[in-house]
Amino acid sequence: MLAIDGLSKRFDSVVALDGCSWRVERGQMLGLLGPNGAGKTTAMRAVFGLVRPDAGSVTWNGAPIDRRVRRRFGYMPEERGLYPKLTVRWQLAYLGRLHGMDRRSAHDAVDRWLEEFDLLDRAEARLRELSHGNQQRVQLIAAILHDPELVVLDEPFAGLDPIGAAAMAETLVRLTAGGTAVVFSSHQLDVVEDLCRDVVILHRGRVALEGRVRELRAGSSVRYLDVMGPHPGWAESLHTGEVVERDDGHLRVRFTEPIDVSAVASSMAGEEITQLIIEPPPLSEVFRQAVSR
Amino acid sequence: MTETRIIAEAVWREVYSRRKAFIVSTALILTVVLAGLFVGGRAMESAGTSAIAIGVMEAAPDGLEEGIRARLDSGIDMTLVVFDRRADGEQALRDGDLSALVVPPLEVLWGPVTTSHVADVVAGAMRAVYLTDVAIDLGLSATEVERVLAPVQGRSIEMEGVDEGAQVVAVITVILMFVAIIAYGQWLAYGVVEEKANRVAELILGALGPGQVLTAKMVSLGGLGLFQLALVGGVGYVGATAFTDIEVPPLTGSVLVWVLVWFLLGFAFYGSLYSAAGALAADTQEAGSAIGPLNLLPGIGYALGIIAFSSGSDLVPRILSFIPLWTPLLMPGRVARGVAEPWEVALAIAVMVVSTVLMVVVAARVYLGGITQATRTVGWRQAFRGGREFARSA
Repeated sequence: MLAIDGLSKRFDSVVALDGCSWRVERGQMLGLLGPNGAGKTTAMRAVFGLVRPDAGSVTWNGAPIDRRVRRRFGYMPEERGLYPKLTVRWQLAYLGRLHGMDRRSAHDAVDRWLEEFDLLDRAEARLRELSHGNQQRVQLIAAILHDPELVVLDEPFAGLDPIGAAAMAETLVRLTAGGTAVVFSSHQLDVVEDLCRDVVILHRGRVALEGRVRELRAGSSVRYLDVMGPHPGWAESLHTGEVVERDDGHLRVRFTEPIDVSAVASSMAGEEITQLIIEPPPLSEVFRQAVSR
Repeated sequence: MTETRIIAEAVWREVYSRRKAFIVSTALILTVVLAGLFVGGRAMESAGTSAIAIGVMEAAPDGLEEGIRARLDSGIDMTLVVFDRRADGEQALRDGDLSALVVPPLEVLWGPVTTSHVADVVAGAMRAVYLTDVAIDLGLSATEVERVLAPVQGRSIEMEGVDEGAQVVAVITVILMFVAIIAYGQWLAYGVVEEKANRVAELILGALGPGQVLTAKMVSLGGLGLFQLALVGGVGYVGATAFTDIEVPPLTGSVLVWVLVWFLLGFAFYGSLYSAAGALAADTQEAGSAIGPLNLLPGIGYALGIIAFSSGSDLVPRILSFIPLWTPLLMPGRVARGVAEPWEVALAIAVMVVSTVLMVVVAARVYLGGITQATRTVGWRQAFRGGREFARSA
């Protein structure tokens, strides 16, 4: 388990982390969220010894993280880091060997992952000759090639097209299912909501909110009512809630107070309602609430 | 074992990614060295066998031809051409076919190709012949004439204990060390900058410690540098022997060991300094301002060494050869000249070893403090402070 405990870091007058704590276990995928400057990248870099915390600790399975432990981790920095002039196969195998793989197993793993990402025919191309999306795939392979126990990915979905994003998401799910602890940051909250059971929302270097996505959404006082088929003035008869969407017989009403379900049911009398859904707010709204406090 | 293997992987990466640049630069240097030796050798050959013609009216007086030949610099081949008509001689002089036209007893004409050396030689020989004739007319014996005309014995003085060959070797040693330090130091520095700029350093530091990264870089580039130096030196040595008349001193095992010792010390010292400087810059555009000032350090030692060794003085090199910045540049030169006492060499090596160890430690901290400041250019002090904090927290 990766444990971040009371991590603080200040860059001159800027507070990057302020007593930040969170955890991720093997077989768990954690979404690290936060607005720009919230401290996500600083926390991730601290795991790899690239930032020296002013206070707090970063441990793996209860012990400080040294170089040998770090070799069992995989990292994908936000600003991508590979050799532009070296071929894809050569540098991936090299990075695998740096993480302790022998030549044979590194070579086999490179070919297996390149095939997985449909990049085997570009194995001998220089990295700079690849498209942005393909470079991103190679970068992901560099992070997971050596079958790490923990993978930390800084904005892995940034700049990917929908197909690339889907392939990335599928890989992360498989890694997690295989027992790897996965931490990634993203501003694409719909992707995080789909992928992660747990999230940590950072704001100004502190943990503003953390927990299971389902519970965080359910914990909000906001509810949405999606209704198909009522007559146009139906929502007003509820005397509560705010209509946020209205089109072709579809209404979406936002409630900031608990919904009086019996009042809703009685208002439906005489209406031709074909669908009614009451749901908590999406993660994006939970996020906005958390960082606006 | 795993640590060694992983460092070896990093060493191999450095060598592999520079293989083409290394082959091209080595081929280029070898071509320049061989071409220089070949052309230089030819120039020396032709300079040593120049030919001149001296005209003389009617018949050459006794002793004139011998007198001219005796006074000419060695290697100048002289032909004496006799003219019956003065006009023909003057025309040949105007055409540049003659270097001088002698009209006995005391007249001589110069032309467009006459050099001051030839003018002096011809005038001196004519005067000697004339004075001999006059002396004999006055009744002096041959022995007395010889005494009257005894030539001045001139020779240039040489530095005591220093021969010219050693001086040349000293200068060449300084040049080679300077070129190796600057070229490979810059290679190191720009390699570090590139890894910082494209953030691959962050991946590497996930698997290797900063000291290991620096070790891998210095071992690989030091190895390449040494290999290139040996190749260029070897080819230059053979080329100088084959193409030129330069008296090349014998290449002994001890000379090779000394070259190795000084190169390793100099490269370790300056290599760690250049690596640290590279880690300061955010990208290659800003690298110049971080690395440029560093070139001045070996540059000063190089300039002073060349001036001092060329002039034959040992005072300045002697003092500077104990300052670690310039020891690897100047002490090998002093050893090559044969003016360094054994205790001086031992002291310089001891100073250099201690300084290099300190420099590697400081450089590793600056490297770590600089390389982890992604996208930022930092100063030496800030990087050192940052690296020291890392070291404390490690």
